[in-house]
Amino acid sequence: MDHLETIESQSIYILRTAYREFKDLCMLWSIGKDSTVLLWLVRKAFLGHVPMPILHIDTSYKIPEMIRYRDKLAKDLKLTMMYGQNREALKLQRTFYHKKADRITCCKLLKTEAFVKTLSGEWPRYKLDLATGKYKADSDRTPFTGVILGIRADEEGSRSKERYFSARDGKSRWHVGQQPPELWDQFKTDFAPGSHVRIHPLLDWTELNIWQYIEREKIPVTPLYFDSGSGKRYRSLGCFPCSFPIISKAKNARDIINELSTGKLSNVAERSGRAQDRDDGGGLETLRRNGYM
Amino acid sequence: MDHGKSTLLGRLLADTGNVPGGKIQEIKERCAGNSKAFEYAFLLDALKEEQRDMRTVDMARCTLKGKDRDYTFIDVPGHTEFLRSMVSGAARAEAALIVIDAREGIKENSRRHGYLISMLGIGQLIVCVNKMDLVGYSKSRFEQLKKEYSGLLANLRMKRATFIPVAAYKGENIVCRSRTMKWYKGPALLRALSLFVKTLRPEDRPFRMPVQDVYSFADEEKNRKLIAGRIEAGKINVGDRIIFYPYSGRSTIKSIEMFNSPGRNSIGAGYSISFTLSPHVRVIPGEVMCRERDREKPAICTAFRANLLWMGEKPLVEGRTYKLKIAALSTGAKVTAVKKVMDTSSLATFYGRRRVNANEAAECEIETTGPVVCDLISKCEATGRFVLVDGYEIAGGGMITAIL
Repeated sequence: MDHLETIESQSIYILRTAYREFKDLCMLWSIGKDSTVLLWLVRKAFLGHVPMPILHIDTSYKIPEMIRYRDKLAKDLKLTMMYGQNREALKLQRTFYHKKADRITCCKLLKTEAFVKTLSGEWPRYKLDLATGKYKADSDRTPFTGVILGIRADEEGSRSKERYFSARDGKSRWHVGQQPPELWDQFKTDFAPGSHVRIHPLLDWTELNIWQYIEREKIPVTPLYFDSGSGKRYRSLGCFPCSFPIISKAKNARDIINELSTGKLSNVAERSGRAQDRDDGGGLETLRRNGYM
Repeated sequence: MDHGKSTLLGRLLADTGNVPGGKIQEIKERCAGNSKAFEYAFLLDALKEEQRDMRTVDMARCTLKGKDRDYTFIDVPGHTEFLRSMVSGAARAEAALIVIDAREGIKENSRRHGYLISMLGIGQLIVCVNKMDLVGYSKSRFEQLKKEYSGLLANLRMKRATFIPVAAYKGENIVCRSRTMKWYKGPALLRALSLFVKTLRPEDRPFRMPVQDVYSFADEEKNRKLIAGRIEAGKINVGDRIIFYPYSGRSTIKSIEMFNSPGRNSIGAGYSISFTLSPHVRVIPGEVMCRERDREKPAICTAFRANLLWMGEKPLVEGRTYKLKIAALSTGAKVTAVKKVMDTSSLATFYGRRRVNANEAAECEIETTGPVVCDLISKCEATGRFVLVDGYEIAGGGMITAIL
């Protein structure tokens, strides 16, 4: 077994445990490369099937191409596709884009608050009707008690302190110093009513592993990750007002793997193009303690 | 209480070119902004809490790209109240690195870490005696500490450990051999790491696959059911006769199923996989799939003896029912007898106790509500160790030493 097969097996093991233990389980999909690999691993775990709803927190500032990609994939795979959104904040234009909020506040409103309230059912989820291709508010507002996320330990500081199964209290707060031990692949699957557990199957995966896997499995990813002739590409994809491309001529997964392995990018952190990390005093920790992904 | 472990790792990463240049500069600037001297340990201590009071909170990991292979370090805290994080971090490791302060010597933490490392079955160890610059690079001090700690390890039946005198802040014996400590003839830390042997998965052992679930998805052929799990030991082939314990269902492997993969005829330990059977038999998740022709069968029992490490906030109480999780099975369990309790720092032992407190280890007898399929820890790790859940938290970890 090579390293990629080992971490793949571990991720499948974690996903199967989550599916077994959590009745109301969903997966967060950000349309980026990591959560797309995660979706692929879900299909590995469940023999091609995606047996839980897929949730996208739509800030409305994703590059439109990504939304098209989202909806196409949902139709092709017949996913139970849903999105959540902070419509109130968008209506009031309390966003960084409209210059009515700084980056951190904007993330807090459009991402964290939307995530937490969509998960709990306080706000509606908009579900894709595969027959019509249109989204409609879902009448089912049952809270999700388990949510699968594609974060990795090597992405940035606070994420490296996470567990595979990480409890959040009733207010989605993360008490980083009180996390349970994950002894011998036994995870926290018992939890108090009203709280939820976040499941992180990609914790052991590095940025390089993600691209190696994309290459090996031939996983289709959004072309924004590659240079289409401008000499630039996105290394990390968030909302367009806060995501900046890097200078790179990598045109496919193999090029990116070479770029990452030969050290061209080894002096630059993966999320260096993400402005909100810098604004949070170097890392997403404050945001994450209060419910961010 | 910081023996310089974070400084050591930070220095190791920086000196082997494993930290993006931008990152070191960024942290130096931030320290200047907060009127603080730059420390290599800050590269690891990502959380703000640590930068404030100089202690490591919870677990962080980092990767060192070596010449031939990569090393993932799981940095675990050195403070009493974070023992649970330490055990969790150590539980996935194949080798351990312990840092001792040359000036302070072997304290409570060092003893406890030694005990935990042996209890978790980690057989490869490097001990760095750090801050040698503060004891005048004294050979006799190094030898004294080496002898004392070796004695401790021998008591715990851990045989092999490499001792290295280092001065992390100065980079001595980290990547390059130290010029000041000419009396030391062994390898520097980086070289010692390269000598660690990668543990192999037990492919030749009796087949064990705890069944995580049985799937029959809506649009599959009507009778197609998939037995899913991760193979923990051994190897299996299409056509092999198999038996599920404890309910003794028997069948034959019809196919080995994996998404986006060509069909296979055999599969071994480490893989998360699915099977179809011919004929399909009723299997309950939590059962263990075994191969009929393996002579060594697992035990099916409701009582066994185990070595338990307690981490829960509330003490373990004899006679109280907890939830036991072993491989893919859950059942109720209670400790019927506490034979011996050991304090993991002083290693003092107590008899006649009926409670086990956090940070104590105990030899005890356990009775379960339902049948448990298991092996002795020496035979198979996945079916030889378990956790106990108190309320909603994993509060203890145990290893089965005898069937009763």
